[in-house]
Amino acid sequence: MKPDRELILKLEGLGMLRLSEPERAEAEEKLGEIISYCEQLCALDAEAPSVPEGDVSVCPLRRDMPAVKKEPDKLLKNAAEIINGCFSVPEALGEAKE
Amino acid sequence: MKNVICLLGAKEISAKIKQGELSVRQVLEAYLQRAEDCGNELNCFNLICKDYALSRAEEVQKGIDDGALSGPLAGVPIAVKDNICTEGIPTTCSSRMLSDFVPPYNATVINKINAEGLVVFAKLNMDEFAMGSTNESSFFGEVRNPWNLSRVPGGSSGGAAAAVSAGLSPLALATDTGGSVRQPCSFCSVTGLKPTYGAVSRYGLIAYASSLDTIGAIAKSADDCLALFNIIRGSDPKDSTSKDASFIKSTDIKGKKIAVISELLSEDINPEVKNAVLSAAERFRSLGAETEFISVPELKYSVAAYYVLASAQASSNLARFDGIRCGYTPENVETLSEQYLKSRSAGFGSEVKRRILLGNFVLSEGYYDSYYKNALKAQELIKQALKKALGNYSFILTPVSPDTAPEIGKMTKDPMKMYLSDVCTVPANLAGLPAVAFPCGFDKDNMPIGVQLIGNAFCEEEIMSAAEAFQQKTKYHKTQPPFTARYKK
Repeated sequence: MKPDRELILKLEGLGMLRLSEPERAEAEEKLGEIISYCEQLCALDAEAPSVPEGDVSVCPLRRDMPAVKKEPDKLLKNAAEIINGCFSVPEALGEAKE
Repeated sequence: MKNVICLLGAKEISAKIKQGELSVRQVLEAYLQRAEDCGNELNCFNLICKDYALSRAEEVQKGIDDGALSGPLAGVPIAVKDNICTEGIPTTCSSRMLSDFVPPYNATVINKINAEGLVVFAKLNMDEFAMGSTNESSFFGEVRNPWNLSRVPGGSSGGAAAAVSAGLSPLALATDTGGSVRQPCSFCSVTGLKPTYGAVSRYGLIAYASSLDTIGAIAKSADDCLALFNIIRGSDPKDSTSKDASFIKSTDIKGKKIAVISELLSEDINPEVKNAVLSAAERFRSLGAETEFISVPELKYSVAAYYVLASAQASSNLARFDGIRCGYTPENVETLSEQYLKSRSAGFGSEVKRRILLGNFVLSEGYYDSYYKNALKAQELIKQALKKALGNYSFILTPVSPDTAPEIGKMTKDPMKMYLSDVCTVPANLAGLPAVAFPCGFDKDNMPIGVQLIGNAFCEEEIMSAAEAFQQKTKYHKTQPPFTARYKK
């Protein structure tokens, strides 16, 4: 797989970097070679044993889609308040996953 | 006399100091003089902390005279890779991003060597943020190999291996995430130990890939290397992944079974390297060990898995560097985002940027399962395969690198080729196992060749004893590079 200009720009954003045009062109080429080599890992989709629990998180570590705040009012209501010079402890929203 | 001091082993120096034949200051001055005479030619030092070291030498001498410091390495000068924090002494990771960073605390390993009376006198050049296998990505310029100044010393601990090889430091503390201690040791004909993950505290090490980073030791001989490891090992409440463990098995090489991995002696390996490694296996047989070829097909995934996992962790670890507290701070910026962008874009070099981009790619939605999750599966397969092999054999023997040190500039044009040259070293990191690299020969151009022994977790003493047994019967580790002869006065 060769990353296109759009993907390089997206990765720059995620990495808080701004590449120059020559750097972008080099990234497309060199990163493409590295990603193509790493594609051999896709063979493990079916054949490999599962990784012991706890080693893999259930969702990508780096979310590149903005989180959608479903209940902004409820969240704002839960913001810490100053009472007698101290912050009040906010209520926990949602349930922790087992 | 000064140059004679620089040819002594570390334990030998300490013994002579304790016997009163040499003083701590005399030894330190010999190394400071040598660093001044020829350090620039190799570019292996980022910093020589002369005043600090001379003041420490006085303290240490007093401790030795009082009997408070009696350890095997008391009074010995040591140089430290520039990604290990030293209180009050700049620690730059050879990056523009940290070029003015002065840590307010010591790494645990520094506290440990200070307590044993070693004298830190220099910070060593390295690949930027330990990312590289040739030591050409340093912001402070490439390091040169003392065996041939037109060749690289290996990386990322190239400054450490070059300094020890050229007699510019008797010992070095360095780090190994994918072979960064072992590969430069192989290129420069010195001995380097990558400990078991967790055997040495990482507190105060500027992280590259936290689940793979280890702090190791470099010296001319296995004996000196083990002495330094015994000082830095042990659990630390400041690093929850560290632990006390010692599974010393028999240190006698006789009767030991050694597995030679056939995949790592394939046609991709330089024939001269292959012959030297097979000769090393033969040498172990002559010492009473048994050797057998085994196949570990899972290793075909090791380089891909390593670069996916290490880059993913690097992209996260390096997200903290933004030029606010230290490093490059751009002028004429209007927003905070612009400050971050400009600082990071100018503060990091091209290899670091490439790995940040790769790390973000493998962690992003749509690619995470195919790359990151499968890399974790590959890591597990490699762990299981090596564990099984080490259940049947005491050690695994492999080359350290498929080839000897390349010319400067050759690898930077082809990063994929550079990554593939880590094929022999990354398996030990992925499995968290200890491994030692030591010299076993030279190619037709007189460039050093190294061999690697991998052992069971926390069996450092066992692999180091095997390396020492090898060194008692060979002279590769005692051979001086041509560079040293030029400076004999």
